[in-house]
Amino acid sequence: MLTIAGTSFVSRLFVGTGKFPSAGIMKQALEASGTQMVTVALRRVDLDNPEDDIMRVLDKDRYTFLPNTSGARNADEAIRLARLARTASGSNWLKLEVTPDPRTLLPDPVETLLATETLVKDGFIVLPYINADPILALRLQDIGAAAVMPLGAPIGTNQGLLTRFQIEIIIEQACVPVVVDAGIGAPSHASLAMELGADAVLVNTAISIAGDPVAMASAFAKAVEAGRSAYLAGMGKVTTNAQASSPESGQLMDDLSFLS
Amino acid sequence: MNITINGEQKTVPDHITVTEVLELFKIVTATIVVEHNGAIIQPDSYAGSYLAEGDRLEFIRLVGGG
Repeated sequence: MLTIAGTSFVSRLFVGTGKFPSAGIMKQALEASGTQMVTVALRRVDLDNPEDDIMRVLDKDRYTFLPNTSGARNADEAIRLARLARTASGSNWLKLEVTPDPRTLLPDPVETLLATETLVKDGFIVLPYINADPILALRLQDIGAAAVMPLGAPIGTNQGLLTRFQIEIIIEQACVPVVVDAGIGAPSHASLAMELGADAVLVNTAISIAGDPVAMASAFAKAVEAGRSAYLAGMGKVTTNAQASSPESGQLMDDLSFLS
Repeated sequence: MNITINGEQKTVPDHITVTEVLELFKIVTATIVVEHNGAIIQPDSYAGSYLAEGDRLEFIRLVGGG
């Protein structure tokens, strides 16, 4: 079972709630995914449509809500959003996201580190979204991050684990859970992350924009479970030369040696 | 008087409270957070928070996101 900051999760699939075609489909997809942790964002109330409220369709007893600080471009903005998120969600869980460049949405490591330091002291359970930087992951762990969330590829690109080798180092070194976040575009990507030993994955776009988000959520659930089982079972070594899988002695060809 | 709500200029009656502004814009308060001039205010303070010319209000809520 996965434990983060004293809370245990059976499901290792975290799901984002953005970009679903409707609230009803999102609700069904979350159920099909088996997730127990869902991310949400903070935005201004639409004054022309004040009734539009995602929280009305989500079962608060079923999920741990992980508000993010998306839109923050520096530590100060992230801290402001974090405090708003805490008031809105009534909990201290936070996915810290500081993305100054709208083109790449890559996280700012310096501002993320600064914000983590302040927010941990302020009692938040901080899960920082980071580039797959093993040194930064250790620094964040040292100052009290509850988990680290390295990206596989830029947000929403569906490119998979482009950062695979750095993620492997992060997993090898981390004492806190490693949640691979962003870029996971297919169940096979999620499975690979779990096979490498990630503690969980966070998926949003790949599910929400699928032709059938509910079926895709179910596919991701199976992939995460398969990857985790494979990791626990112990994967074979990758080698360059062929290693015969059938017995090498007593081959039929021995009886046919007169042909040579 | 004029105040700014969620970045938009709005004209509201003088001596208005946060509670009254929320009612004016038909905003259900259960799942929102209010910032008044950059500081979060708690729901039990809405009725006692009077606004002045040029004040800034932010009404924020949780939405779908990754």
